[in-house]
Amino acid sequence: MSDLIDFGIEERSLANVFKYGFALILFAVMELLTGVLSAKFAAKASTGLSANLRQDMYDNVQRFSFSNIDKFSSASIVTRLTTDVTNIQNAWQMIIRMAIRGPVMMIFAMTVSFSISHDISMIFLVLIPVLAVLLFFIMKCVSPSFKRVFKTYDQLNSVVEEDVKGIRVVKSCNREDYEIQKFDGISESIYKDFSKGERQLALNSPLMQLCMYGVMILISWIGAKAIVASGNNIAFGLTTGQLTALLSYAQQILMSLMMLSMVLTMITMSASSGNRIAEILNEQPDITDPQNPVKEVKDGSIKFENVDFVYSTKADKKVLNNIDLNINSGETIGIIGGTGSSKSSLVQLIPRLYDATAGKVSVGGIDVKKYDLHALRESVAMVLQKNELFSGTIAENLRWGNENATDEQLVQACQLACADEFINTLPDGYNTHIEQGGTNVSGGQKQRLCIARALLKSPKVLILDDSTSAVDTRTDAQIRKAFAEKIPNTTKIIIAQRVASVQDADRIIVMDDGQISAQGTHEELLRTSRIYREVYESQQKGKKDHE
Amino acid sequence: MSENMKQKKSTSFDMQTLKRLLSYMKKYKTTMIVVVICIILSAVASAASSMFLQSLIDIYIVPLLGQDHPVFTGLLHALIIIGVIYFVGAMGTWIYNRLMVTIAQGTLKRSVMRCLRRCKHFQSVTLTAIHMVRS
Repeated sequence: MSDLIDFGIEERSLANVFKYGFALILFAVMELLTGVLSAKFAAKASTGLSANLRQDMYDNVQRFSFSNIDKFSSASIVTRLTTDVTNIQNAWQMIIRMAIRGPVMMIFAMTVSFSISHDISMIFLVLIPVLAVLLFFIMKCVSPSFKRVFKTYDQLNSVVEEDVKGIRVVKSCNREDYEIQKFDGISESIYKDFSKGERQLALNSPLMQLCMYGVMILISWIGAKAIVASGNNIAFGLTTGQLTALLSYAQQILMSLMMLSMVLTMITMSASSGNRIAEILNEQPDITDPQNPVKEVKDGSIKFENVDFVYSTKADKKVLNNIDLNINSGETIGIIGGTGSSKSSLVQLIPRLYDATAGKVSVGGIDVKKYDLHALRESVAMVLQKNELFSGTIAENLRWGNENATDEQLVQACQLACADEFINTLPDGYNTHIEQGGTNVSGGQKQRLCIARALLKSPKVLILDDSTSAVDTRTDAQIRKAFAEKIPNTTKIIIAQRVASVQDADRIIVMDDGQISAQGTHEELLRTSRIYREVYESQQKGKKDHE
Repeated sequence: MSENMKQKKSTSFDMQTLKRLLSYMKKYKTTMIVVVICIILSAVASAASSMFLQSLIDIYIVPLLGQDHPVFTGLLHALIIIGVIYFVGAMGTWIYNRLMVTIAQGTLKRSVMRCLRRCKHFQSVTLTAIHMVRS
């Protein structure tokens, strides 16, 4: 630019105007091409990074134990996998371009500026530290707002997840307005925090502009004096061409500072997301395979020895307290007890969904911690209280239990779980499509399908955690009868609220406040256990009243 | 349905969507006017910067070349004036950036809340519709 003015325009040389003009056009085209290519590759790199991040996080989440998931909450994991990864993707796309282009541009422009006029270029050296301090101050103020926003996003997702999952309850209880108000409160909180952070960040751009304009005024004033003093002669000092070049480089330097400030802004905004992603990636699963694990479960015998359990180390009270229990292979055990008596907590220790806090749990005579997790869970099938079906056909859902199961095996398992009769009434039978969460089948049908799925594993231990609660009494009895006849060697543990569901068991365990209150057969417990007798009598009375 | 009719239908849908999106900004009508004024001020300052560079050499430097006692008062006045223009431009940038945050975040929040409250696209839709969206 400087040569174009000094040797082309000032000297009225058309040849020089063409020469330097052509060079300028060439550089402009090169800038355009490299700009397009850098944008393209930056987009590819950032989307690739986010895909890899998401995959690694997802892989780690799959290895999480229940307690790992409890620590984060499922809503927070969803936010981290979606919003946080997108933030990092956007930030990275900008950072890889600007964090390289900005400093390169600044160093080049500074070097050339100093070669033109050392004195005038000193302005830049004064300006840069001043700007750096101001930017640092802005970033420090902004950071806490964004940290708060992402925590609130977790709450927002949690509310939405809860509402969508429980939309039937929300509607049947007329709680739509309450749900809207709850969402509004969280939404307002995000609005306030995000606005506060963004408003503080809005100071960045005008601050840069003020600096840029201030520098241009200073260069104009000092440059004008230097040109007049030199008589616009390059041999004696600054020329008009050089002043134009200096102003152009000043703009480039300030542009590069602007880029760096944007990089800093993006880093500040995405730092919180980065930390939250790192937490997921660094989280070590609580329950892992031991070295040289046992790969086969011998039989379905179970032993609890002085077992204590708490969900959180901060908890004041033990969920399970000093449990001692022996279950023989092939035995049918009923577990009964009031809400919160830790029935589910007890059985969750068997397939290592949680680990005992103290004591030892053994299956087939070996500590569960010594087993290969996959082998243990293949041998211990558990039908949870809130079991899920996934979108797909009935057959596909059943094959979650055993992916190699034949059609005959599917039918056999469904017959055992008394699911076959209702499947056969469906137009597409085993190919009937199940909606996400199994919302197009009734609660009882869903429970029977989940039991059939567990049976396909041919487990050594089968745990039914209140999983026939929605099944009518007749079908419940049919299922128990089928279990007794068809899978006599499988240890069956049945948690139930109804005494009728467990009264035929070989042994019934009465849980109360995290401890085994009593155990024995139905008749024994009626004589010895006050709790069991009260539960039985109240249910009998209810039955008579109903009749 | 002819190609033209399809196109017409698609355009009318787009216009309706645009109208609906703009309706969320109704509350910010005055703020939007202030934002537009501030953007103009900021753009004027930026344009003035380029124009000033042109006049700096031709009007304020070249006439002083070869003078024994050059007087820089004219240049000083011009620099003060352009300094004021720059300052107004930077303030314009700051104000519109701040106001745009309020409008963008507020519109986002209002659009979601209005969907929940008035359009009732979530809480009041039938369970069948929710199943359809899920599937």
